Formats: sequence, structure tokens, C-alpha cells
Amino acid sequence: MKHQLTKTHIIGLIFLVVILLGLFYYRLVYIPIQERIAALNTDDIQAEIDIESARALQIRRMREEIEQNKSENSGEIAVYDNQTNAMIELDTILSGVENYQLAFQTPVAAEDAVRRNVNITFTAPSYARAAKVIEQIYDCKYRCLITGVNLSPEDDKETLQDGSVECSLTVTFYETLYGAETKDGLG
Amino acid sequence: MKRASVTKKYPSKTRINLVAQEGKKEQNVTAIAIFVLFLVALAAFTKFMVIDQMAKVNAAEAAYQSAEDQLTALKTANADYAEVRAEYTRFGNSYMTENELSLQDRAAMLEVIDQKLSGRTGIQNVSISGNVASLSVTADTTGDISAVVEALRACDIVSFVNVSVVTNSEAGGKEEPAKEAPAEETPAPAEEAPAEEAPAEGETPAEGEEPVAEAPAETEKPAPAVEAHMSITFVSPLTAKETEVQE
Repeated sequence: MKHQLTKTHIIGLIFLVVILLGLFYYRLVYIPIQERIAALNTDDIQAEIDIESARALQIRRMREEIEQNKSENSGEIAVYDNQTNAMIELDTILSGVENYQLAFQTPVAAEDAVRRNVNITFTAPSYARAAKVIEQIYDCKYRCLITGVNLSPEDDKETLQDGSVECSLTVTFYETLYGAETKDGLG
Repeated sequence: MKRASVTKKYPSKTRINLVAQEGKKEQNVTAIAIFVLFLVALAAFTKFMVIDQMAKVNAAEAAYQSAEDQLTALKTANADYAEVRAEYTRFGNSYMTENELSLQDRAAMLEVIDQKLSGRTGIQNVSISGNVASLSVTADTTGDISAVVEALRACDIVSFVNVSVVTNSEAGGKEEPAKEAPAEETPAPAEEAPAEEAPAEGETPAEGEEPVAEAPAETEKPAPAVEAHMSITFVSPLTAKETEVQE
């Protein structure tokens, strides 16, 4: 017996085929594509790139600062405890002056940085010599900062240009705890 | 042999239904049209739902690969971070506070003071704290003090000069009123007139007075007539850098 498909049957069959094809497409094409796209999300990589870019910028700035400080003879920040080397260096600088005194204060640490204040007093034979000593301390091989300067003639009746000069300096020497073997003696 | 007695049947239909033939043609055209529509729908589906989606995947893969390459390159370039960081702890400025970084070079400050003041004035005392240098100076006239102030003001690293006290030392230490005048204003003169009135050291004694045994004093350099206290404010290196950046 020959079965004749009616239009309804045909439309129903077509609808069924479309549904099946849609499911087939969704399961075998759409979902894998979406999963693949989700797997290729670059948010994490972008976050890492941002971190590395910031680090690259930091490295560039650090290098520039290092080069600038080296070219300006700003001195090296020595590893704590560098007091003896600082004393030797100061002794060399002050070798041409009379009656020098070095008063070392207790070094103070702030995170990795150590500040060691030294009060230096000396008598120089001339103003030019005193200025030269100050310049040599400024250019010392160990990083330091001259915060206070006081110059006066040894004889109160004279001027600085006339004779010996008494000089009093407050100098801060910088040291680092980075790589230090001890933290003893810190205030 | 049995002779076939089957009578042959001949088609009884002697006409052709042409109307029916025309109806099949219409069906074919409809079928072709539906098929073409199907093909168009299939093409659109393939384009938008498959090819474009695959293109999205390819683009995502390319972007991912590019980002990964960039990250690898950055990591390679930053491989020496620890080494640079270690060197930076020795030669960087990270340990210095902003206040410390803002201090002007003391040697440069003393050089300016020496260059601008020597020759015109005698420096009795220099005290430097922060970016301010306080000085006590002596000069022959107030005009010399004014000239020194002008010269200091012309220096790049000097931001302000203030003369606080000007004293005529010849007039028995009588001080001029402390005006706290900024350097832009001329410090109070009035030292020259009294200086004329009061005989300077080494002048010839008045007639009738006994000669004093200070003859050699005539050949000595006359003592300065004016004493002044001034403060020089120097430019912070940080401010100088900001100005350079703005320019």
C-alpha cells in the first residue's frame, strides 16, 4: 500500500529536520567555538603584561638614576655597618686640616635604609680649604648628605677670607640593610 | 504447441492531458525556488554561524598568541630586574626623603657665596640650614651690600635674598632698624652720612691733640664701615627639575 505524504507531514518533517540540525550545530559547532574563545581569554595575560610593563619602566628609571648618580659621583650606599670605612674616608679628606673631630650618632634604620649622622668640626687654614673639604665630603665615595654648615673665622675679629676658618658640619651617611650581615647597633 | 489466446490490450486512452503536464512544471519551478531559498539560507547560516564564528576563534587565537609573545619578550627584557634592583640599592635615591632630595648642593651654595661676595665684602660667618644660608658680612658702604644682593639675585640657583640688619659699625654699633626687607627692596642706606661724620680709623688726629703712637695704622687698610646680616634662599633641585619638565 503506497503511503502518500500530506503537506502537514512534510512541514512536520522539515521542522523536525531543522530542529535536529539546530541541535547538531549547537552541540558540535557553537559550544566548542564558545569554549575555545573562552579559553583564549587574554585578561590574565594582559594583567601580567601590565605588571611586566610597569617593571620595565621601573628598571628603566632605576638605570637612569644609577647612571646619573654614577656620573655625578654621588657615591655608593654602602652595606651596613660601614662606619669604619666612613671614618677612614673622612680621615683622608680631613688630612689637610687641623683639630678635626668626628662625632658619630647612633645609626637609625627606616626599612632598609640606615642614616648615620656625623657632626664634623675642624679648623681649616683658609676659607678656600674649608670649601674644598666640604666639596670632598659632598663627593665622598660613600653616599652622604651635608645638611648643616657653619663657617666662622677662628679669630672673631677677622673675616672668613682673612685667615683660619672654623667649620662645623652635620653630615648624614646612608647605608643599606640590603645584604647586611648584622643589624646590631641600630637605634 | 498451445497457441496463445491472450488478447492484446491496447491503450484505450487516446488523448493527452496537457493541463496536468503544465501543473507538474509549476511544481518544479516552485521546488527550484524553494531549493534556491534553501541554498541562500544555508549560505547565510554558514557565513554567519560557522565561518564568522571560526574567524572569531582565529582572531582570538592570534590575539592570545600576540599577547603571549609580548609577555615573553617583556619577561626576557626584565630578567635582570633583581640585578638592577640590587645595584639600585647601592646607587639609587630611593632611600632619600623628598626633604633630603630637595636640598641644594652645599658646595655649589658656598661657591656662589664666595664668587658673589668676595672682593666687595668680608664674610664674618656663614651658616647653612635647609636651602637657606645666613651670613654676616662687612662692607665699605651700603652700596656694596646692594650690589652684592643684586649679583646674588642674578644667580640661577638663588631664589631669594633677604637683608635683615644693616649696621654702621663706625657709629658705635648703632643699628639701623631691622626692616626684614626683601632683597628686591634696597636695604636702608643711611650709613654713609654718619660714616662721613665719624672719622674713620687711621685719619689724622684733630689739631691740638697729642699725636698717638699709631702712625703705622695709616698704612693699614681702613676698617669696613657697614655690617649686614642677610639670608640667601637657594632653589630646590626638585623645583628646578619641575621647571625643566614644564619647559
